[in-house]
Amino acid sequence: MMKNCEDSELISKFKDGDNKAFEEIVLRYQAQLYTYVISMVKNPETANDILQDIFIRIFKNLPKYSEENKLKHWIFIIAKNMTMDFFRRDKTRRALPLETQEDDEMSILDTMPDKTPHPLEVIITNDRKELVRKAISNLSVEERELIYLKDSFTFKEIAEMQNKPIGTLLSKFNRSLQKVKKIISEKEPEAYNEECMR
Amino acid sequence: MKNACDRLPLYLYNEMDEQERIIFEKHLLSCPECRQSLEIFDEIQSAKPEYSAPQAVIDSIFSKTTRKKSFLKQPAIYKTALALAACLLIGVAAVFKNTQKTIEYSNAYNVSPISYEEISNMVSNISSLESINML
Repeated sequence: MMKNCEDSELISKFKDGDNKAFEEIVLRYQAQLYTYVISMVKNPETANDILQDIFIRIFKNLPKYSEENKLKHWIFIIAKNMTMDFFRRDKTRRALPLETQEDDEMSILDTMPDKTPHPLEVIITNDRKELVRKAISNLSVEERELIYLKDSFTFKEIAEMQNKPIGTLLSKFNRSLQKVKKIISEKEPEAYNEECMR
Repeated sequence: MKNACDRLPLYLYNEMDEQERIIFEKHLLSCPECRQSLEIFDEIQSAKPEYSAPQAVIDSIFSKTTRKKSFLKQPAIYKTALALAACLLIGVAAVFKNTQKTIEYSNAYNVSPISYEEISNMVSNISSLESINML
């Protein structure tokens, strides 16, 4: 029933006292938000805590929320603010050497369930995927954020949310692609060259 | 064609209008850099992990928001236990306060322990008073 409701309908129902509407909002956005947060903080336990805090804040503020804005935008702005709060509280994390951060990312990949299947016959492809993931994890927080926000928003929407010119976002995205390309070519030069020859 | 390369992300996410897309595809034919970026983009898209929050986290969110129990909605046994604990606390506080009063009284009147000798004197005094009364 609730699954077919638009966001605006869910908000109205929640304001009328229907808690199930809020639960549907949680179920609707948890995966997008969790992927976004975990890609930023690179730690499942921290991501769990941040995700809970995000939804508790949404729950408290939703009664005051004006429906003129889009719910998804608002939710992601809260998510971004709370994730940045985490970084402010945990400044030492950002001071970690790159190698340590890489190790952290790989340990997350080992422990977290991945929706992508990994059959044995595509083990080489999976090695390549691991390499690409490692390359993504080496990007800056802002670059990773943009890559993951793109799953949920257009460039125009992100520009509005972050109050930045769209050109700046396009440049940042291109720069991220170049960085990933460079990291892959450095770590797997032969495979990369074969890819380019095709 | 630097400006055309800058527009690549819009092409990758299908955020160009029809005319812009046709122009960009012509550029793509003559730009090996953009073609390489396109391949890398495809790899990123397929390698990018998608996560789902653990069920325990979802349950915890619900228990802290929509399913949070107010005191009135708590089970009877919980409310009884809480009432008993409150009574016990009040009782302990009352006893403590009473003890404090006794100590204060003792200090104020400088009451000191009485020896057997003093008691004996007091008893003999009382006996002599009683004998006077008898007269």
